[in-house]
Amino acid sequence: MMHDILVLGGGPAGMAAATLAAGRGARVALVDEQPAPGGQVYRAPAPGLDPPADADRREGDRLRAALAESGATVFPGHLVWDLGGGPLVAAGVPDAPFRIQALGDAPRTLTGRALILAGGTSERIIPFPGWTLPGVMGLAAATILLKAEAMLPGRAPLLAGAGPLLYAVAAKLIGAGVRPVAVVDLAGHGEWLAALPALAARPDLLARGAAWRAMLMMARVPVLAAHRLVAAEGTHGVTHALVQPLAGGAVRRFAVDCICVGHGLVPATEGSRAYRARHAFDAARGGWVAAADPSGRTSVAKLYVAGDGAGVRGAAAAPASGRIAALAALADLGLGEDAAALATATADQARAARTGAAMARMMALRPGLVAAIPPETIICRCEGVTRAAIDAAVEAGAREVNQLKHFTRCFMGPCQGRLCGEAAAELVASQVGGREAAGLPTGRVPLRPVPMAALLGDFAYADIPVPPPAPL
Amino acid sequence: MLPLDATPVSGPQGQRVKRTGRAGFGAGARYAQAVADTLRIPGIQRAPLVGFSFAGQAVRAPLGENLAAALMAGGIRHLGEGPGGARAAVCLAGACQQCLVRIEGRIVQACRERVRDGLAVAPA
Repeated sequence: MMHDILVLGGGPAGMAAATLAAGRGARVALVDEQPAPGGQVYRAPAPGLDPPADADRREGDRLRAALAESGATVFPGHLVWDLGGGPLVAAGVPDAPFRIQALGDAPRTLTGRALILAGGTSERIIPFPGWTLPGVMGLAAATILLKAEAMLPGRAPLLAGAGPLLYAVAAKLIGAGVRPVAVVDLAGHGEWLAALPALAARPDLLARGAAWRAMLMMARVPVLAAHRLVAAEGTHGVTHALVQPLAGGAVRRFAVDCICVGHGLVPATEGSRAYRARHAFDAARGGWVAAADPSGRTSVAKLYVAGDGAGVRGAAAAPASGRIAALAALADLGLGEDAAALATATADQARAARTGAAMARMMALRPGLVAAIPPETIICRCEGVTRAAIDAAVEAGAREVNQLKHFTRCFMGPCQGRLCGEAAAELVASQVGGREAAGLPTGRVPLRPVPMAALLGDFAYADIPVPPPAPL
Repeated sequence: MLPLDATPVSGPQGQRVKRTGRAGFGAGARYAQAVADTLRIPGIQRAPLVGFSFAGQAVRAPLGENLAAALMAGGIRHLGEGPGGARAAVCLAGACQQCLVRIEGRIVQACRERVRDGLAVAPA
């Protein structure tokens, strides 16, 4: 069956986009990797687990309920690995409907006249010595453990990095009865003060932030502003964290059983890159994003981006962003225009995005952190590529990230650059004059590692076409 | 005010937990001893416990729990060896590919699997 609109990603942007479009009679399918829609901020608890509902859980349940009633077909637990159709057709052939392949309970192919990409973000972790030790994980991973599994990342965790996630995780840990060993924040007090006016646009968030800080003070958690995590130590797992002021000075050593570290969020662009949409680098939105008009229209006809995947603006701004993209898709497909709904969604998004933009700036990549990585530190864990190897490749002529792939295999392991890409690209950028010059990796399918059986499908040996032999 | 109790005394539902004293995969056995069953936040209703195994080591976890989380709670963080060193779950969101394990011959991401009774998990 041909859908009007396919939505990739079941976070707040994707859920709201599918809900609006299906509610207006369009044939909509939403595909998401998780067992239930929700994305990361509104992630649903594991089956059989019933933690007490907090504000995020209630908002997630509200979005999920609206999606369920909208008439959209939802494919949870489906890993999208192949993108086709659209502009990806032979030269001279008109654009085809979008065609995606996903692996769920069974292989599935979906087609749609329009495609909304709402892939969210992945967490940026800038490598440091010892970051491969078991017990070192992302801050976002800690929120997933706490939210979806009601589980602690450790009994003596140290939190390090940048942005509001540091304090969100710290508060959740304290609420669960565990005191973080320390919170190590790259931002100085001045940066948080500078963000206050934007936070004041959302009193609810400001109050939540103030409550988090109060919890930390009452629990006497050391909050080290303008500090960075220098190294993790341990033999079989992490046992100590080394921390130093950004300005230099004495290194402090904390005994830990776990380090949760995150240096901001990076928009997921694999879909828009695979369709060869135009992209632009904007550090304040998380890095490379698909170039799009205010309604999320990319440079590819009937391909839209929404939510944090279109540029980091936070979960609160995401549903309005999804509704805007859905309204654009409906209009472009000739399924109706609604200027009033567009104006409302645009105003909603602008209000929430102001706070989100301030937070996104706090989470922007800090080049000094990459410059400080020691040469022998592993950058690419999949292929075992060190900083020294990347520097040597750049020196030898890899002036762009796609060339770096050929020189070092960085970006070419199973994570496809999701874990190492930011540091690797920044190392290239530092030598070639910036991230624009360093480029972004060409989008390729499969988008994720998939079993060979998924690529081959079912066939009999006799079905294999044998081309006639070339004339001698 | 907020106790930081590193000494495990009770399981997820408050019952005493029998310790087997077996090492985890590779090393980190002491860590496994110290954290086993203390990471699940108490006082929250969970699915009934079932048994599964990692590299032959028995682990108990609530049915349907995220496999990567269940391994962590069982004291098993070291999931295998990679070119960059030990492999352990980093993102829990399907991106990092560091939590790869083998189930029924297939290489899968532990963070995208759920605990089932009798599940046999091997290092990838």
